Amino acid sequence: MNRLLASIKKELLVLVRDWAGLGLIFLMPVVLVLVMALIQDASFKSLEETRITMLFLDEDQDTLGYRVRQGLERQSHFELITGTGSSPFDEQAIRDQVARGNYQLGIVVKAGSTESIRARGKKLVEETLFGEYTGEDPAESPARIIIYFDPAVRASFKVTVRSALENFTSKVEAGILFQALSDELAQYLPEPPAPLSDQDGGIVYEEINAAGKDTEIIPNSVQHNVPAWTIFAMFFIIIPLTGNLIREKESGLATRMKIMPGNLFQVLGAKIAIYLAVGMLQFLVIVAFAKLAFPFFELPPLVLGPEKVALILLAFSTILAATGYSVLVGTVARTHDQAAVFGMISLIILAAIGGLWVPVFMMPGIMQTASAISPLNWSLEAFYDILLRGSGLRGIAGNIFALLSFFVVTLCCAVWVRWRMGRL
Amino acid sequence: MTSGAAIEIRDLVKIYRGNDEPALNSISLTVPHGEIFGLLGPNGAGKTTTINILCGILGATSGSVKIEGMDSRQHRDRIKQVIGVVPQDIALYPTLSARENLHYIGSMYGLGGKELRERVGECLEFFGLEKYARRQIRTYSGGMKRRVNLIAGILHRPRILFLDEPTVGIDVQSRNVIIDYLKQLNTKDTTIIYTSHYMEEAELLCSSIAIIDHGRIITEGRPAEMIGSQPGYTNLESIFLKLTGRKLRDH
Repeated sequence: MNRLLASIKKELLVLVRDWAGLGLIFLMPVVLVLVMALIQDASFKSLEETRITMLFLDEDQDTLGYRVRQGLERQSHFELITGTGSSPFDEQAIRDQVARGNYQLGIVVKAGSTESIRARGKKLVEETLFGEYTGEDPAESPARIIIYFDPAVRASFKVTVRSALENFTSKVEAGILFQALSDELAQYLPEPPAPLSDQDGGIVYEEINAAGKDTEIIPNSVQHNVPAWTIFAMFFIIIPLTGNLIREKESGLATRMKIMPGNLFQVLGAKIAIYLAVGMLQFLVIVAFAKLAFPFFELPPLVLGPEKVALILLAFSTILAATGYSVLVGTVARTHDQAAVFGMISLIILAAIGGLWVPVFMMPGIMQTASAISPLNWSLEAFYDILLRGSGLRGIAGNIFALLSFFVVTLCCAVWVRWRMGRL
Repeated sequence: MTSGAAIEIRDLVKIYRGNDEPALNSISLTVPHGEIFGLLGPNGAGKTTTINILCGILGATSGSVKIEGMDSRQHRDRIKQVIGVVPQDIALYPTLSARENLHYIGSMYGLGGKELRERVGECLEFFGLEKYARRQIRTYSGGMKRRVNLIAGILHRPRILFLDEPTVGIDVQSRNVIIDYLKQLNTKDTTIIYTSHYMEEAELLCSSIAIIDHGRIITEGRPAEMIGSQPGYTNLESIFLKLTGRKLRDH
């Protein structure tokens, strides 16, 4: 016991005198969690909370063009620019401006679009009443709205804007069509029909948390991002811990430990104890920062919910998994470079397949399967269970068991590698 | 405990993985208690491999090692308490002070409390490091680091001390302090196993020596007898060159 305590004291002294390592453990993760939460907050916000500047040209000069413009201007999240000074843009100018990246988006309502929609109404009525339509086929000159996108714009942004526009213009189109149908029918019916409205019987959308629990937790970017980046930060200990192990190997200290009385449990146990304590402290610092300081950065505070014990146990098992993995990498690697490069790249891969950057359900099938091997995924899912789905200790017991098993397996591998090296 | 040999090596063989040539080729050696035994040889001769096997750092491919009558494979933990090792590398934590390093190492050998504090203080004082004891090792000169490295090996008063080139790369003053201390230690019945490239130093310090080359012991005996038995050779270095050749050994 005395040897274990002496080793713990020594590890603590080594750690507190390594300012770079401490910065990596405490400062960098806080900055990482804050930056990632701020950046990703925008993509989690609904379109209503984002203001998009776009170029607009109404070639139609009729109901569709007028109502699309009016509708877009009425939306607080769209800002329309129609020209520079007194000269309006033409289509080529819009295309050039967007292509140069000056604007991300340009919309052109093509000439004759409203007429084309009206012709569809007329065709529908005449074909219904008389079996044939004698006018020009509206399908030959359909209503067209051209959307120019900056090629550098991300696909997700494009999809978001396009679906919002489609949703909006379809209402405008339906309005024109209904009006055209009403006007046509009025010519052939003895009594004019009641005005048709596209507003009646609309679909009502309701958003309900499927967890179905009465909880104070509201899903938002912080609830998603803080656990993800906290797990990533906890695994950051791979840098100082592998550095510690490699330094001992390179300086001959590892050899001295073999010579001295005491066993591997005392040597590794001290390191694990110290890094476990540091990891828990790091977790508490990040969580406290997200809870107390995020509002100063216009981010919602992290809500921990009632399952604090489950959270602590989950953090504990995650840090143990990170420690076991770090000990294994530090044991196998021969140099600082090997440990740092392999450690960081393997961590990034495990984070990527673990769903820390892109949710697992959005990944291709093979990657969804691969995510099951990432301990970061086991931890992340358990954090989501607690912080978003309102689950408790029972619900995450499997994940905690998997993380602890990972710790035991990696540690056994490290011990085996050490034993093998001693025999060479 | 002091009856019999301090160290007995029988037919010791070590073949590193991936190597065809054995690093040690059936070495047998007996070191009586109270000797200062020099294990000399050119680079790659097998000195460090021998020391590493004796200390339990490496496993032997075959053969047996007994330390104070204890088989090295069966009594590893007991042997660790009996031996002290001063490795060639400065195996100390650079960001810890000399005192912190020595307190940690002493604790691992089971020392504690007042006994540990006094022993650390006494050793630091003897080696002229008392006033630098609170400074981090990384700020020390090469000679100071070597002295702390030596203290780390003798702190627990081992009965057998292994030194792997303890005076390499240090100033004359530090070397003298170390050599004087080793002589003094030997008078207290500590057996010393010592490797070095400095023949003059070995001749001065060692009561008996073995010259090892290509993993074999090529001669063994008292330095004075060895010199006397070779007409025309006046010192250990000339005998060493005669036995191991003048060809450069890049290992």
